[in-house]
Amino acid sequence: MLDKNFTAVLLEEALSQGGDFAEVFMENSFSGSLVIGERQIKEAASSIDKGVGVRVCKGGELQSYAFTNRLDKDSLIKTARQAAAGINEKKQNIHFNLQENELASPHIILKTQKDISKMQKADLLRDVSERIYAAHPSIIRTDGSYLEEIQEVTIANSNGLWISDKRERTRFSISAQAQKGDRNESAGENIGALKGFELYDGWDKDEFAAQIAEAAIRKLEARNCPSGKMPVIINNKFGGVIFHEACGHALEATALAKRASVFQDKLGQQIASPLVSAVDDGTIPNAWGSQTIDDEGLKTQRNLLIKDGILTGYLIDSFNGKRLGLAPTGSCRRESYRYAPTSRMNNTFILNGTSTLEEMIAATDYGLFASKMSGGSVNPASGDFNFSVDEAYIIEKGKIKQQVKGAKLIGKGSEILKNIDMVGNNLGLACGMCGSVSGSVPTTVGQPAIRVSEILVGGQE
Amino acid sequence: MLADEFIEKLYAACKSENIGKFQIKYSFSAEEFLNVFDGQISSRENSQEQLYLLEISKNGKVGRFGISSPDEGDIPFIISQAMENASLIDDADENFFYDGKGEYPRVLPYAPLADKLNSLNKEDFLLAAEKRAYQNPLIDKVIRCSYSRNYGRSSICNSLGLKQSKDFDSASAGIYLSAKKGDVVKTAGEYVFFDKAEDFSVENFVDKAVEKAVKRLETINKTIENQYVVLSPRAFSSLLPKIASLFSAKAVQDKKSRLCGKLGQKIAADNVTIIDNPLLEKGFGTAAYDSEGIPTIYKEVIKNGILQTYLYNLKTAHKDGVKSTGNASGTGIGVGNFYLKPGEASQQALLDKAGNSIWIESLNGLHAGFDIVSGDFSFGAEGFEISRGKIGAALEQFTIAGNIYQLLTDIVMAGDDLEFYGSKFGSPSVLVKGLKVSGE
Repeated sequence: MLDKNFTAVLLEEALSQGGDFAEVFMENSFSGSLVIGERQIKEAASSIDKGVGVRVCKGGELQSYAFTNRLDKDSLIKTARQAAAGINEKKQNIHFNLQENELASPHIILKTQKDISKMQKADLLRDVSERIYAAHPSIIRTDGSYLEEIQEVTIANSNGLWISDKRERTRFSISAQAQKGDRNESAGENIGALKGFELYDGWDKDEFAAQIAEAAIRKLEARNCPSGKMPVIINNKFGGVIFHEACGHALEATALAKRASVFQDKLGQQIASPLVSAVDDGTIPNAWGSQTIDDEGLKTQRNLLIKDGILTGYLIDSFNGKRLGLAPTGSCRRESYRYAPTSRMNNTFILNGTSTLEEMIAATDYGLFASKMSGGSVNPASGDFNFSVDEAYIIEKGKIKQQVKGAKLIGKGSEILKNIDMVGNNLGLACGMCGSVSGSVPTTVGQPAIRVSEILVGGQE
Repeated sequence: MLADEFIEKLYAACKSENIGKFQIKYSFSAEEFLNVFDGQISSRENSQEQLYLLEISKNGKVGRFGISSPDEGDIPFIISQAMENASLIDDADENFFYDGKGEYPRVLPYAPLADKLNSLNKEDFLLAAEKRAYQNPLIDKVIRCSYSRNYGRSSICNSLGLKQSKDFDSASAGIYLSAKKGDVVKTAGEYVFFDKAEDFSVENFVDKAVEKAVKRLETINKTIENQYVVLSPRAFSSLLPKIASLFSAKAVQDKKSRLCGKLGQKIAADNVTIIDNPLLEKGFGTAAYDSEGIPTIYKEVIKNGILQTYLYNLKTAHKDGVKSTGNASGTGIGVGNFYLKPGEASQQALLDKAGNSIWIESLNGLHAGFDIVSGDFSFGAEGFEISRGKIGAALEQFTIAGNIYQLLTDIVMAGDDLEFYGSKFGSPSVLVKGLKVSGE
């Protein structure tokens, strides 16, 4: 990383053509990946990526960003000058003194990946893969990957901030393909955390493997999903992707500052069913979406977004916060030095209610139980969303009946939130990658099981 | 140290460590980006970045190591990491490098009209675009109005003698806006790529985006039951990446694609020809060689409904005992310019044949909702009613569901209106039958 003196030079250079705030983001990242297919390690790759991003802001109106991974002094000065030229105004009188900030991290790493041999990681992939094959004779193939990343950042800015952080993450994903006659289906699962190799200690690999194999086998019997408007029970964990898409993105200052959110000017208003309370929390120890500091150097927080259905908070970064007149919430993130940061989510979830999943199913005369979601997207301006369901069942007269496939849920985000009429008590989180203007960042989504009184289900029938 | 210098040193070090087979890839790119908001420039970005990738083959097993800003002193570490990665592979199938022999095609890829672009005042262009959009009283917000230019070069060389490099230059301007009437908000966007004279006219791209957004405001609630629907060029193009994945030799050999064992068989309707053409003049996917340095060739994956070929890289080609088709992309399979061959019927002829039906304008949620193994898909869609041979009122968001293999056989007619929209995937409008449409 760069030293304080040279960083101060870059900040001065960045402010030389106007602007009231400048920032230097330094990054040194290591990442490694292994890919398994058909019981063999097919790919092994790793990389080191170092770069610097310089940001200059004028109030909340104009942001200029320049980055490079050519790290000789001339290239770095040129980058700072490019950032400055993006403002192109009269230089202001800004003085700063870079003071080292120390922040104890609540995210302890016990077994850093650097101390674990690559062979051990490959063996882990092979081990879980073999357990999946052993779980059922109809499993014809597994595909999986092992990912590790260690990102070291130092952030300095013209407020005098100088702070460093190290984020170590790992993720294990694997899927199984089952075959019966002419029919082929696949199912997968993953675990991930802001942890080192200790994530895999005490991991019940047999149960993990069995769940995946059984899910693939079950799909072989799934029929086409019927279409229509009906109550939908969305299971916990990755079911939270609905809230993430239908609500989360529209609460980011990224959309609010452009007045492109359905939730603008709605603080204090009822935007969801009174059963719904939700948070975005960047502090959960070692959760996949957590960080000690955000990517502009502010401490992450637990942000209460919705309480009893009332909108209580947004996710704000400093720059967009200026336009909105709101304080930052430690929610500023970027994939890497290649992106100007903006407000994003961390670990976003609906809080526990009081119903049990059994009660929710028993209370449904005819509807869909979406036991596993696979992904979706929303338009923050119009609120239109669509989600794919990976595993689902038709509920008839309060009982789970036939497994179905190919279901898609569509509608408006605001309607889903208001139509949540039961909230379960089995909160769980699941890992994902969230893509937006500042790149792809690790986030978790989560919820207990929830029931939405009516959603439009698009199926193959 | 300059890139060429570093590559030479890395090459020499690999040779002196007696590494038999290795390959070095390099890429550099520079980008500029501008965005306007509320009559002012709101964001300016500039960047330069580079990446070196060393691939070492140990008995046909390839380990990779990438690094963005190396010093000469990093070279032993780079080599040791790539070697260690290679030793982890236990894949029975061999990987190969290409020696660079043979003729490379001369290609003319997409490029912006450089002189016109260099003399264009981009800030004025964007500010004028935003202002023009707001002239329509139904336009609520211009959410994004931006310009970007990205240029650079990439090179590949290896121990067998391959040495190739190419430059690229691309530019685009885009507008994304929302129209509002009462409580209803609908969005639309449009892009231009500055490779045609009309792209330099603000009216050209703003008016299209405005019209699209405004047309979506007035939606009707109607049940339309018809076996026929028409997919717009944009909508069918967005399905083509999924369709392309079926022809990947890797997917076939991994038993993920159902096209296994079907060469020479009928897998689509008689009138269906799907082309992979890396040589297309001014194409966005045009290239003289693939990511392994293999010269590219024109091919038809489907011709008149019959499966002609899979798409191969060196590894999969060796496994099938055939020549690579020049479709390597990273460690997998990619395409050049991939499109459904246009037919002779006009778009109007398709609308007439469809009857009272649906024009599917665009699809969304494409990153989820497709399972290559089963072929089933389910996507969100935006579209309009077709009534009396005309595209009429907008419909509320609906879903379409089907199976991708079945869809190929259910293509009834392709129009003559082939479009690429700044992508390597292109299509004419397409009349299909049998899609399950669910909506209000």
